[in-house]
Amino acid sequence: MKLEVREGSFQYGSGKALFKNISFSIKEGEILTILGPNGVGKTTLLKCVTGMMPWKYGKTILDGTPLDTMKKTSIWQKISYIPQSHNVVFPYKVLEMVLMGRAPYINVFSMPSKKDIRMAEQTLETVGIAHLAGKPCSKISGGELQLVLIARALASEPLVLILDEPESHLDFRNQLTMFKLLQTLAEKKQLSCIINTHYPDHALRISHKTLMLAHGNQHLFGKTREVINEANIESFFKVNTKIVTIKQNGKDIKSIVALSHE
Amino acid sequence: MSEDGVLPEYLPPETFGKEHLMKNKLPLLAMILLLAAMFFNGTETRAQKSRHQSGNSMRTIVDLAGNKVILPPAKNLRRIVIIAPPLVSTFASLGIKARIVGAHKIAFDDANHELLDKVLPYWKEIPTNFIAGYTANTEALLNLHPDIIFVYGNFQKKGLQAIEIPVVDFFTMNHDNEFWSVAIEKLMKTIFQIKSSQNSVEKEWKKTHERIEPVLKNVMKKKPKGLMIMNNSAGKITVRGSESYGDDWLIKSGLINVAGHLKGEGKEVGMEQIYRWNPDIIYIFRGRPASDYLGNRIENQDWSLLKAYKEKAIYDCPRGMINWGAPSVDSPLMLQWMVSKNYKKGFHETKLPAIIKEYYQNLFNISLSHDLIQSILFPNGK
Amino acid sequence: MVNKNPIDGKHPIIRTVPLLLIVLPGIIFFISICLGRYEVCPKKVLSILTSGCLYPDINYSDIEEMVIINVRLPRVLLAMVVGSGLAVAGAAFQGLFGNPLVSPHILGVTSGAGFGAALGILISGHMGVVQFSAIAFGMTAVCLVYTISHFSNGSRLFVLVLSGIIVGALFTALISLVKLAADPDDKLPSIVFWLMGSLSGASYRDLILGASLILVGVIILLLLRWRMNILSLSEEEAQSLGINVQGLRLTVIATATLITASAVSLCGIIGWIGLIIPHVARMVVGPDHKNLLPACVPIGGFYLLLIDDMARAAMPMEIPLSILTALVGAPFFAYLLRKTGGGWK
Repeated sequence: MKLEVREGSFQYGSGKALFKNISFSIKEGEILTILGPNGVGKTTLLKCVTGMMPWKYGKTILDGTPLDTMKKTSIWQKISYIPQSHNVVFPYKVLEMVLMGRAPYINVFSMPSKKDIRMAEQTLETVGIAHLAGKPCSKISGGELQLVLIARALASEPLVLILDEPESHLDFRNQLTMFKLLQTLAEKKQLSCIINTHYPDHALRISHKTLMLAHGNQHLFGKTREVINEANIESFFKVNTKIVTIKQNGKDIKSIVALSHE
Repeated sequence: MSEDGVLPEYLPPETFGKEHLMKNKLPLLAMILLLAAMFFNGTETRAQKSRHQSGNSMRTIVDLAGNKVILPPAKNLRRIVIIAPPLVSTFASLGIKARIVGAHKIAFDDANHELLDKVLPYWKEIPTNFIAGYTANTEALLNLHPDIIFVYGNFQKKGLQAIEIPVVDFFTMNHDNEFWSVAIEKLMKTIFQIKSSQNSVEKEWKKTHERIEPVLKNVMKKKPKGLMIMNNSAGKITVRGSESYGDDWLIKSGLINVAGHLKGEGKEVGMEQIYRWNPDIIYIFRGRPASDYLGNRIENQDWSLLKAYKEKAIYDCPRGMINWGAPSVDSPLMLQWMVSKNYKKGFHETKLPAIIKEYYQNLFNISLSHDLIQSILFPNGK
Repeated sequence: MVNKNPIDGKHPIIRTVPLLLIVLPGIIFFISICLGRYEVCPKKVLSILTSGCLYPDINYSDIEEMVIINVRLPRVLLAMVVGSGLAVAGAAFQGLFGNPLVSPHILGVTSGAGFGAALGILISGHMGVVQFSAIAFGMTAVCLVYTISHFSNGSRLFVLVLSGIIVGALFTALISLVKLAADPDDKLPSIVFWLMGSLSGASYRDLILGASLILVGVIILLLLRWRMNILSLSEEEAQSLGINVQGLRLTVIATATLITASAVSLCGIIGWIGLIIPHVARMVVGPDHKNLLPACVPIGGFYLLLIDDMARAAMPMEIPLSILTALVGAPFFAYLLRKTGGGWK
């Protein structure tokens, strides 16, 4: 599975272009992080990638097939998208919530089958929250809810998983748990992941590739190791940083330390 | 109920899923539909069947609204329910053997009770509580075991369509007191198969016209301005506009209806509008009595500025068999009473008691005392 | 873990709940049909209902047969159909707008349909015209609410409720306008009476014309019920779960409005059912629409049946339904709120 974006451009109505001629690609098992300051259009970019919003120019190509020629249901059988805000109005039980991920496989007038239920349960096991199955979503923590949403996305057996700032409501430990999970999923299930984030640190830690965005149509795509360096961070985020490496149990752990900003 | 107020956790809702409810519920719905279809098409109750079989003694009449109604012979019409209040008076005037077993409350509230005692001695026993507004509770009505039901207009027929008891509608489009009072009398005579034509309302109308026409003929070009108040309660004044029975009263008695440019009964108006009209004569149908107007005792309404007030020409509608402002068997008397108010010189009101006495003698075969006549003419006292 | 599989696990208590929801309305149905101002004993009722198959030796009079077959049966059936329909439509609206406070009444659908029906009575009085007009204006109202609420950017719930109030007020004013123009002798009392809500005019013709529309709507919503879970999520989430959000939304709105407007054209404006019954159902079977909608059918039918029993049998006169649903509904709702602190959260 290869997801590719070719020369994607987008603007609202006839206004100024939000981004121009963005191209990138991602293979199975890879994690791509999209980095950029607030308001640069990261969420919009994700929506364009998934076809929820139309590209002004350019296109998304999934395994050689342009997305706009595919049926909606078959797109969503291959791509899963987890949006940023999620307030639960009705306190569905966790398993019911995860079951909704099976929607692309279920006929409009049908109910989930036994097989769908089994799939949902399996994804709960995969994510490690099987014990929550019978709990209402209103009675679990923010971190657990994020895991439920990932499980829901996985329930549709996607090849590409797209997450919009998944760490935003999580505490320190939960952030790490979640990124660990994503890494495992990419490795073991050969999932391609695209993740929006504010934090270069996270990108550095988990992603293979990085797309950096800045105001004024600037963008930069490449291997994470090459893209994230002190010079680029300064030019894209206007922050003076130093990348430090800590040795721990024979492994190099890199971290970005902010020094100053204007 | 668990503490969080939602469901106890051991109550998973799944059993309501496809396997259970879908299988059990949809057929139930289908069954209801089927049942309905079955009854709609196939079922004929025994009453319908028996009516079809004994068809030859049945007859068909056309009611005032133009509907065909199938009726049994008059001797089988023993128990009557009358939903439209004014019909009680006409029924009572015809000396019919049948009994009223249910009626609208207004038929009695709006009548002179002493008169009712003479004409309809059992009136206090007649149930009225099965009607709310003008809608009868179908089953409570059936409990009265009526043989026939009298209504006025479709809205009084609500809930009566399905029952196999003849419903006669006395609704007409033209709001003409004379036309209606004659028409209802004729229709009731047809229903109860009364042949005699003596002492009818129709004859009384003829006498009425003989008396008032000479008066009205000499009326000056400029007729006095009249207004009939429909109701005045809680600060809300409604008047009777054109195309209403009230309008018919004002015009037939030789007045101009100042509210004629409003269409229909019971149009709400403000005091300012009434000042602008400045009527010469005001009739009060319902609500505050005329004495309150003449004493200028109505809160936030100053009637003393009007010409009618200054000339003390504000009158309560008399109440005989019913409030005379409504069309009824008393209608010929209402018109003569109004002419005596509008044209005092031409038709002196001292003539009225004798006319009323004779009228009730002819139509109801009763003799009214002087006091009773006075209480009819002045329902709220002098 | 106590319950390994919360979707498939079958606890003995659980089996009784759906059974109860089917058996109970059956019992209420029978009690209702035995209940009324005209006394007919239950044995006779059974004999009449089965055309003499049960208790063949019991004699019943023509009038008793007429009371049961022509007066009570259509009314009881209509009450159940309308109650079920309004409850399901209410649950659908709540799911659709992802908001448990929404009801057909708050969204202005009832006022719109009410105006349509009043206009229909004014123009022709023919049942078909009244029904068509009610549905058309019910749709107009909900489309207006939807459009207005999408023009503004405020909190979704707030704007939605506000739009509903605006549109509801508009149509309420239009109803008054129709009343003003109506002939006070004949049309006006019809409109006024009908606005208060009553099943007293129930006939088999109503069942065929109106109730069949309601049933069709209920069946469509029941078929779509699992999807409504997804619809109740945020728009983005729903889209990303691969469903046709716009199409599904439109279908659900149109169907729920069809049900509400048909109910309004049959028996006037009956409030509260569409708001309360989904909550009650949610407390019994949980928020999953897969179970919620089917549960609304018996509970809604059962509730309106009880209310209508009161309306026709409590006093010799008819009591308007809107009075009873509010008098019974409002305190009950307050009690639920107190007891559960909102239940759905």
